[in-house]
Amino acid sequence: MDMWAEAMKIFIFGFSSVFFVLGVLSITVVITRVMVEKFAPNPKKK
Amino acid sequence: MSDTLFSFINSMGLYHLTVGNLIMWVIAFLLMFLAIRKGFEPLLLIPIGFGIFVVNLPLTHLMENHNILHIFYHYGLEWELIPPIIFLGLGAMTDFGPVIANPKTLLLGAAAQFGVYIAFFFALGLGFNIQEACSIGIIGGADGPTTIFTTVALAPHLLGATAVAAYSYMALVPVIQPPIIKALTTKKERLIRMKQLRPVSKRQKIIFPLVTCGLVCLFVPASAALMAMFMLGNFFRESGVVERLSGAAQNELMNIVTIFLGIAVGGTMSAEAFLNPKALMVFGMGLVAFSFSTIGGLLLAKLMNLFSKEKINPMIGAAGVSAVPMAARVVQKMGTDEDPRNFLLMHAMGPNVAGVIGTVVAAGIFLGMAR
Repeated sequence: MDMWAEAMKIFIFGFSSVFFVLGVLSITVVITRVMVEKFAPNPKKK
Repeated sequence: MSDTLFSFINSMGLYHLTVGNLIMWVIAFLLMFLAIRKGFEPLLLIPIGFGIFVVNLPLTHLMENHNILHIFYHYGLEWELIPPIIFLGLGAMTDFGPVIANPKTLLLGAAAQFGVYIAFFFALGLGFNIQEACSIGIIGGADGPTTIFTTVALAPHLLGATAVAAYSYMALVPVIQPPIIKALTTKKERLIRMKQLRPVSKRQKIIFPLVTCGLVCLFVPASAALMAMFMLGNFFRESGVVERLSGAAQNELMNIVTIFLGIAVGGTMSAEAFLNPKALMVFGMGLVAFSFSTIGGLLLAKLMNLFSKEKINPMIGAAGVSAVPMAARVVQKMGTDEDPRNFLLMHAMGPNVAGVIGTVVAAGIFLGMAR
């Protein structure tokens, strides 16, 4: 394959994957926070 | 008699000293000078400088089979051992609290990989092949171990140049970034104060390394060696029950492998391997990579402000270029220069540590696609 076509493929897949992975991670962090807060022991409850 | 004298002289390194060796000594002494007098990344530049000096002593054969520097290089770098161990230590030193408190800063860490790809294209334009261009581009992640890990796998002949460029530019972050930040932000933007970060529970901090390791390795398996060790180190730290292991990872282990890493990288920089136009171009590309990474982070931060009610100070986007914690400190300093009561350090630490994750992901993708 032509080198520049290969390079474009690496750029498009690469840069968008970085955003995708970190984007999914940020959503997961939010979901984790909600879950942790939901299931955290209630200090008022005996 | 004259034959004996000649063979005696011939056995001396002095007789084989070349101009190239002398130039490399100058480079070695310059790096050591910068480390000692200016405090530029001394932990790395001292052993790298010394490695360059000794490998350019003729006839010492330190980088040949079964000699000391070659052993460090072979088992430490070719076997891809040292960079993951350094990541173990980095993980144990890193507090992901600011990222967990403000998860959108992860996107700033992603945007700050822009320079990686710009430098990748520049390098291709200058005649480097794809593997070499990947190794040069990753300098823009401003992460030494990741640069070394990628270069050893893709273009080992460029190791000395990429490693020294990465560490040199990391040390120069306080010089490179401020003019770019000033050029791309208005005074009003630089004065934006951000709301205090919400507190993060211990439970969230314990879960974060497990979730991040699983997620990143599922999407980008080629980054697993670095990511797994990074998150293991952080898990040691946050679990709170293995302080000895966390301490060993941060201190003893980190210090030992730093010595081996520095001297092995320096050992790759013989005059024959280093003194060529390609190495100089690598240095130039490194600057391009750093600059565009800073721009990428800044521009995304400005873009986020267009759509978000709660404004962020766009300067924190520049901290997405890893270089922990130097880049965050630059942002903090610029913030307090504009307004002495504007404290941005913890806000900037979010994109700063996110940038490390982003660089590892970018490196993993390069390794997966270009190897």
